[in-house]
Amino acid sequence: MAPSTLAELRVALAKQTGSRAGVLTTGIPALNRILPEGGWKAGNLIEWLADPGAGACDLAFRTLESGSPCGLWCLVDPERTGYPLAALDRKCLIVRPTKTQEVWWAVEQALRCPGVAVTWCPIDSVPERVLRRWQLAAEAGGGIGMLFRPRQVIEQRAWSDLRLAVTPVVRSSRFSRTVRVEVVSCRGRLGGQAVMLELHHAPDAVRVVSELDNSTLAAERPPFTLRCVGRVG
Amino acid sequence: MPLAEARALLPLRPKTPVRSCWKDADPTADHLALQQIAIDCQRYTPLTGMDEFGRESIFLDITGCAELFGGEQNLLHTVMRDLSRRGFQIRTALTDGIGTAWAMAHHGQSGTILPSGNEQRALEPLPTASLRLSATVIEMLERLAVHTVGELLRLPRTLLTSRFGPELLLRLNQALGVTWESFLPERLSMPLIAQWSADDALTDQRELAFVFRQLLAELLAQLATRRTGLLELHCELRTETETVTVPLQLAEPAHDLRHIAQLFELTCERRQFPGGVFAFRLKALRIGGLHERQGKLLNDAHDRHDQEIRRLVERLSSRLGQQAVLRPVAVADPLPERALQRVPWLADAPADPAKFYVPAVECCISRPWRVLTTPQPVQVMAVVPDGPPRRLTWQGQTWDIHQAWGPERIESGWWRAWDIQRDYYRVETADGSQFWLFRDARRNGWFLHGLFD
Repeated sequence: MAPSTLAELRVALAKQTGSRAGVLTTGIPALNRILPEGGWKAGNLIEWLADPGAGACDLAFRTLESGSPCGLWCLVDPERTGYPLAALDRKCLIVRPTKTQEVWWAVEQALRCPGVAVTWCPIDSVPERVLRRWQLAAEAGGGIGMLFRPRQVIEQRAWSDLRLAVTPVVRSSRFSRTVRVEVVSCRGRLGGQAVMLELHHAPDAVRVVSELDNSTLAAERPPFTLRCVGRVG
Repeated sequence: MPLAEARALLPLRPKTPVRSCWKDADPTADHLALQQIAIDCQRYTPLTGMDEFGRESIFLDITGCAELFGGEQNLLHTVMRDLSRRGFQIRTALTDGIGTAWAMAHHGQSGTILPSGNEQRALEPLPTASLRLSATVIEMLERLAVHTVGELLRLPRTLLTSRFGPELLLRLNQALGVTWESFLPERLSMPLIAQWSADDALTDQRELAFVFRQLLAELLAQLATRRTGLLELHCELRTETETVTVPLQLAEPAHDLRHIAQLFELTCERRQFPGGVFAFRLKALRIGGLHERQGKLLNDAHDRHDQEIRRLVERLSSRLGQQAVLRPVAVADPLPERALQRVPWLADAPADPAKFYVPAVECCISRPWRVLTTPQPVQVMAVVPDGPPRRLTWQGQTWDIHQAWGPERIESGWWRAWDIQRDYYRVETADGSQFWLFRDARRNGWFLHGLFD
């Protein structure tokens, strides 16, 4: 039986079973609501725009932890500063190219590989043609590509399927920090939606608290939570 | 014996601490290791072979070899010394026949050199098990109160076959040297090599790729007959001035011509061949059995993904080098830059990875996503000399610090070559960014070690 026939059979089976193939929930309903597909869509390239120390990587990882994508997690680490301690329980591949062209090539290879669930790359400047190739590679591979870029590139043209801007909010405590996530641009929809999230430090399930809840932390050490503090926009 | 039984034999309250460790038995690996020892022993004699009976012995036919080592005694001593140095506990015997040698090595005195004609006298006190008999025959002899070879020899020979079968008499004659016996010598397998040479040099990458494919196809054809695949390939390309070696390593045995050729092309992109290539030589260094998997009509994504991941790793390693394609491994070390090691993906995974060391601190400071390989010195202003930072200057930019949590003291032991004593702070600047700073008590300075991205 031809591979294409098998692929069609699998898609048909997924439709019949009612599973929404290809969309990975972030685990945060408030964040899902502002995303165009209601989660991370397989085959998408997502850009996270943030300043250093803003918390974009932390938030991105927690959304992936909730969805638990099946497959390899590939971290392309050109700056050799990646410290994926939180990902040790996962099957993780770290790629450390030395030249810029090798970085572009490695990211494309990882995006194109069907066995890679998430391709993760902090990178500053990338030519548009390379971003376009990455977008096509992500579509072909079916995984999720996450690029972490400086906030300054917000003025540049976007080739990614989704562009999110993460801004830290100065209301952190010993056990938590607050960030504001805004959809800068996305395919097929207008951007501009934003939500504020509170990231806690401790291991446990992720849950969302209603908007009326008091977000002040209790005195005891709280469980690991991702709280929706307020919806903006 | 079962593991539980073995553990029960350990003393409950030993006078000295008993360290125990265990591994699953692997007869195949044991056999391969013994085979390798037999091949290594070909430095003493060209004829070495495995023991097909107990599968735990090797035979060396030293006919004509003793003089090269200064006599039989010296040869025996050399063999024992060399193998003992490799960590093996061995028993040896040097006799005229295989059966006698087996009996003396297993049940006699180790290191015995038996003169010719003394086989019977040497075998008489040994147990009947020294004749390499089956358990059934030994049990029958035990029931008849025949415990030693001497007692067995006193039995009428004509009755042995009818009573115990042909095996007993055969083994007895082999041990006494009456019946000639041989072993199958171990041979080094023929190297798998394909080569090409020409008077005109190849300068174009496509020409190199074409020749490589031709040679690889020849090599894979040899492997196909054995149902094995390539695991490691050694390519030598001779130019005018030098011989360039291009190693190719795979994650698992493969016989895909197109994939391996692609790996070669990716590897050659990083290399120069001044003057062109005059000769090509491919040698298969390691091969392995091909594992055929039953395909499934649906839901076989897991198997397909595993194969795709292996191929991705091989492609990345070929172009970027094995040291650039890594897997993270936790190390029980308090120093952040040492707590996470990155080992090559194609290298063997650590057999016993250390449990991840997390400092049990009340303030529950998590580790940042970015940790600088070398901490960078920063300018910090603090209200009190040993207090938390209040202003940070890094790469020409200044931040006011809104909050600081810490300190978390991390220090190395005095037995380390370097003495480290650091007080770590997680700081939040006025715009909400969070950094990981530490004050080095030894050097009395502040450093940026990570960013909470």
